[in-house]
Amino acid sequence: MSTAALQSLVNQPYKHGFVTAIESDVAPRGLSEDMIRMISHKKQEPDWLLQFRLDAYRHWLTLAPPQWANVRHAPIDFQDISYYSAPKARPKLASMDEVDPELRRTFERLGVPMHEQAALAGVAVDVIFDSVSVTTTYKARLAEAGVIFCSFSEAVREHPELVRQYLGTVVPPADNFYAALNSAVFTDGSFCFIPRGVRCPMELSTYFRINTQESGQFERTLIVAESDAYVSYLEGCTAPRFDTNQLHAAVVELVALDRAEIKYSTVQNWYAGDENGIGGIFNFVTKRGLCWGTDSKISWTQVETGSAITWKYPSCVLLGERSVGEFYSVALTNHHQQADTGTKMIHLGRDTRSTIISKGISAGVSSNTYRGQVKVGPRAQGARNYSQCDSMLIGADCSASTFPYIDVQNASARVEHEASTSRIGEEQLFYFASRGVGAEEAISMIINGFCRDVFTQLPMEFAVEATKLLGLKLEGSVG
Amino acid sequence: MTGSLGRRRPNMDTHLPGFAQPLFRGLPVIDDAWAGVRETARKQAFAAREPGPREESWRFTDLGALYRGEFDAILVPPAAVLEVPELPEAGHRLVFVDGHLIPGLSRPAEGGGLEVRPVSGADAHPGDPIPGTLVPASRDLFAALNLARLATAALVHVRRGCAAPAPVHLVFLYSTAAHATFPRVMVRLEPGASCSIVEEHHARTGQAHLCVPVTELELGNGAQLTYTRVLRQGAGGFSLGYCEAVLGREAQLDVCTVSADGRLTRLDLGVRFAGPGARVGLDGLAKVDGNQVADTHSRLIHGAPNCRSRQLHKCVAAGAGRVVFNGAIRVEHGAQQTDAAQQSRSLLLSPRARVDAKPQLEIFADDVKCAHGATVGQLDDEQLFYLRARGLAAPLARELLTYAFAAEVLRRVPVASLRRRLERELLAHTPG
Repeated sequence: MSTAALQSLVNQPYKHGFVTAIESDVAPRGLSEDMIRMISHKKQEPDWLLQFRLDAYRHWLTLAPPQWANVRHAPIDFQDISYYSAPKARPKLASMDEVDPELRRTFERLGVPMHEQAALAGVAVDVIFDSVSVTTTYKARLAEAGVIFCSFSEAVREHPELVRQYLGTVVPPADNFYAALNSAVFTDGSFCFIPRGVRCPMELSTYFRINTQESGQFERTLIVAESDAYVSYLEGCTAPRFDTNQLHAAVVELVALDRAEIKYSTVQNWYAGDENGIGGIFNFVTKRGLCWGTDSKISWTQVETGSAITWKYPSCVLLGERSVGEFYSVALTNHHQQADTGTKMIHLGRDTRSTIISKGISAGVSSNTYRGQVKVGPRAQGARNYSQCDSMLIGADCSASTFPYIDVQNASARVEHEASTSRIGEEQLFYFASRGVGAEEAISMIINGFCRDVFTQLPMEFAVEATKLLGLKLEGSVG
Repeated sequence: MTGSLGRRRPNMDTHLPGFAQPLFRGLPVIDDAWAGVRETARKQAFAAREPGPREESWRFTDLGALYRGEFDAILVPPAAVLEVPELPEAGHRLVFVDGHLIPGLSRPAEGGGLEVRPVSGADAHPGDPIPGTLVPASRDLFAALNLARLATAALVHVRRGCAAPAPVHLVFLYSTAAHATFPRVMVRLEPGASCSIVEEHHARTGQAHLCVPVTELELGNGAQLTYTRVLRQGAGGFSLGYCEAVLGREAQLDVCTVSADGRLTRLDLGVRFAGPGARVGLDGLAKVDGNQVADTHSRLIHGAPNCRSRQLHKCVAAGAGRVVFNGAIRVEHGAQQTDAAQQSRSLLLSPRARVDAKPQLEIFADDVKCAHGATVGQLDDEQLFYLRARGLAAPLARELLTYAFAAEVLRRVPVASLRRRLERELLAHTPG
């Protein structure tokens, strides 16, 4: 892809009936210290946060984009991106009838509830559904429990001491190229704090946080669970998400103190480009959880079906004794999509345990890579890991790769890794056909069985939608 | 030509890493059939980068100690008489000491269906394999050094449809400290030929020395080769080995590699299926103790349909020993009906031992069966308890379990006397 082509993609308009109003408050392209000061000033941030950004920026200048991932794309011109635009108001549509029929059909097939459909499609919610009351009710319940759940900017204003205490503790600004970039220019994201002993009364979903849905391409999420706290956090949704920004470099940090548990679920279905591999989002994310306290637990579950290129390794640093890390992933690539995704389990504390279940499905001419690391430090007595990475190939032109790194520095550790490949073959389809099951349904059932270990980890409504989503994404790939 | 090469050389020496610089000092230039191969390789050695931890394939293998050394080439064979590891079953044999063939200890075979002979640029036959065909100088610095310093290689050539009656024994001994040797073995099996080869490398010095053994195996259609490679590099030895095989249609290759001791022992093992229906078995055992490092990089390329590969790699790490295993399996586009399975098992016997395992699958065809598994662990407490409950002292119980772990590979060594010798030498003193 030529740079010119890439640039035109970066600024691609919504393809499916959305119109983006041209904002007057958009910063010129390019990145410099002045730009970062401007972002910080506009957001009325405290000095320490500006310093955090500037330090990250200065370090970023010394870094080069990583080359090791098994993906190919043209070099990205980081001076050709606008790093700030005021929160955009989505164009409000008067009713569901104005929504693109194609999108509506997708919603219906996924079984997305009516009010969610409306919110996602940008219909003014009060027209058809009083979701304000929903929002108000949940806010009241959370406040009662003492849970803080708000946008990152709001957190910086309302709870600066908490943000300052934890920001950058799990993913330091110098961690990698994209994390440094994010630390320098992030505009918004989510902040979640569960105080000591609180079990969050509901699953927290970014969907409810309507006011900050356009959190931009450099999103920052920080979730802190104090001792004995529990939270289940849902990110994204099964509905397709179109975006004008091609490069997304988010950072997600999770901190779990003693006996705390964080369950983080993601369903990602961003625009993947068309059938010829033109367009689509580059999703280069750094997600990491720190099991700081003893007996803490962090669990990542992800269903990755979108984006032209995915580069994502939700990781767990198991520092506390007996802490537990889990990673459950389904990554589907079709057409020209490229995914290089996996996890890192860093065992530092005694008797820490981790489980990795990764299911990769590749179709079309896509490339799907699992890349994972299990590292057992010298002091991680009795550490245990079990990894299973299965790939499924659909069609003869796609590829599946597995690159697990196992690094053990403690003799009492036990690490097991297994990987296998399989396919949806004519034999299986014939078997189904002879029992009266059509090809589409058969594929859906096979995929569902293949991914079951992961889907069972998803919250109920996500699991139902995710199953349908995979079937939808693979339509026309077999037979 | 000789003179002009000699004059150009000093200017280029500056690009060569320090450890290798003495290798080209005072080197006589011989104008023979391989002069071109050597010269190209020399240029590539001077142009090659020094492998280091920033490169993915050298990430876990610290070459610092090697780079701090200086290694000279031995231009005349040493006079000392060395003990040669005997293999009663073996027929023909070639013995090299510090890279030089010792005719008095060798039993070559010439003419007929089986040829086992030394070959150099001066006496290469027109039909002999060209060195560097499978492990070219462009691969990396060490492969380039091997070709650039190539003098006498060992050649095993089995003609169409012929079978070698007894195992061929290739012995490489190293006796001199601070020297470097660049052995090369070239094996060609014509269609339908079969042979068993045992290649052994033994250090007779505990001092630092460098050895870069390169083996090239060509198997024609339907050929069968059993190749056993033993490396005992001594406490101070650096060994950076390469073995590359290419298989024709329905050929069969069984490789068994065993390495123990050695400051650093690295093996880059590559197999390529070039024709359908071929089969490969790879078995490996690496054992380290003290501050030794054993690094095995294998790469199996399924370039043709209907091929089958089985790999079992086992590592035993004691002391502050470190083992690295990187096993790649690549199934190329169109290599349907591939059946590939890989197992890597590492046993850590000491708290300071370390394992880095990286199995890799790269699959570009959909109708395939591929699996890999990797485990890292220590001796099972329950098994130890079981044995102790039956009256075995703890050290003996540990030794027995370690023996059982390693024996799975050792019992696949195809030559009985070698198998017994390795069991005796490697497993007698398993540290607790």
